Amino acid sequence: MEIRKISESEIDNLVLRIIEAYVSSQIKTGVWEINTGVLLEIFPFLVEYFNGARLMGISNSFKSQNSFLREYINELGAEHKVIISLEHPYGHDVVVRVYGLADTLIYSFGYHKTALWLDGYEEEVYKSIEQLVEFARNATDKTIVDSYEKFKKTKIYELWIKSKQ
Amino acid sequence: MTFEKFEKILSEVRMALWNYITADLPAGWEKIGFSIPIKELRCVPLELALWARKLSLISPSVYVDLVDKSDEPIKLIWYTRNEVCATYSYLTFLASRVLAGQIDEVIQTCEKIKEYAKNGNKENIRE
Repeated sequence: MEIRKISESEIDNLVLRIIEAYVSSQIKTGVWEINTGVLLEIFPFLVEYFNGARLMGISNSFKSQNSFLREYINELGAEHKVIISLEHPYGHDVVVRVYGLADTLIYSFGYHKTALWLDGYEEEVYKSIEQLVEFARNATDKTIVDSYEKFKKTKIYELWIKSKQ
Repeated sequence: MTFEKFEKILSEVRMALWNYITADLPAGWEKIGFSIPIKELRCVPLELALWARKLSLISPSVYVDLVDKSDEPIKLIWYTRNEVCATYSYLTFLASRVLAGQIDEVIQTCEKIKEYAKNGNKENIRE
């Protein structure tokens, strides 16, 4: 029997499709509040955001930056809220946006986790996928809705409404 | 909440904040720039706060550009050694912080921006 060699790109593609299919079937899409503590569980390598979409390897400098970032986020408090949107606009991969932490962060969940998986971070990838699924199961937008209603009662909002009249 | 609904309320909050920040500026202004110490801003994007701390600067400042009729009218610009290190779309960030529950902190930040904008360098003020 002839054994066919599988190329790295085929493995890459297979892992990506499996992650995409699993995550898309498990999460509800929408915009939710998220505590930075939970965000760090879903994205244990948060610095990956700042280093481009495709991670080609994790250097010691990267790890050191990540630890620095974690330290700072921990200082903000695990309850510090930011906003996360989960969408799969093209029917496959989940597009994640994080608002109110830095400039709006946008990236493809599957591509990112696949890159980490190929770099040998399998356990971290499995854990973070489960954390995302768990988060999405109980996700709420209460803070967003309440804050919007509260904002509508401020003089800033009232002035804006008047300016349009 | 759907993505479409969120984008709609985020846009509303952005417009209301922008209207408030620019309410007292002279008629016909187009662009105003000023430098402000980071510590004056109650809400700061994460990377900026990190850099300020990492570089161990005692009182780092950031440059703010207010540009009328722009898609992203408040830009925070971070300079090191006279080179632009990074820019941030600050109005979207502030609106996001409102919806994440930091209304009071955002209002205090807007007050500071208004205060500094009054004395900022104004360009292209139409007669």
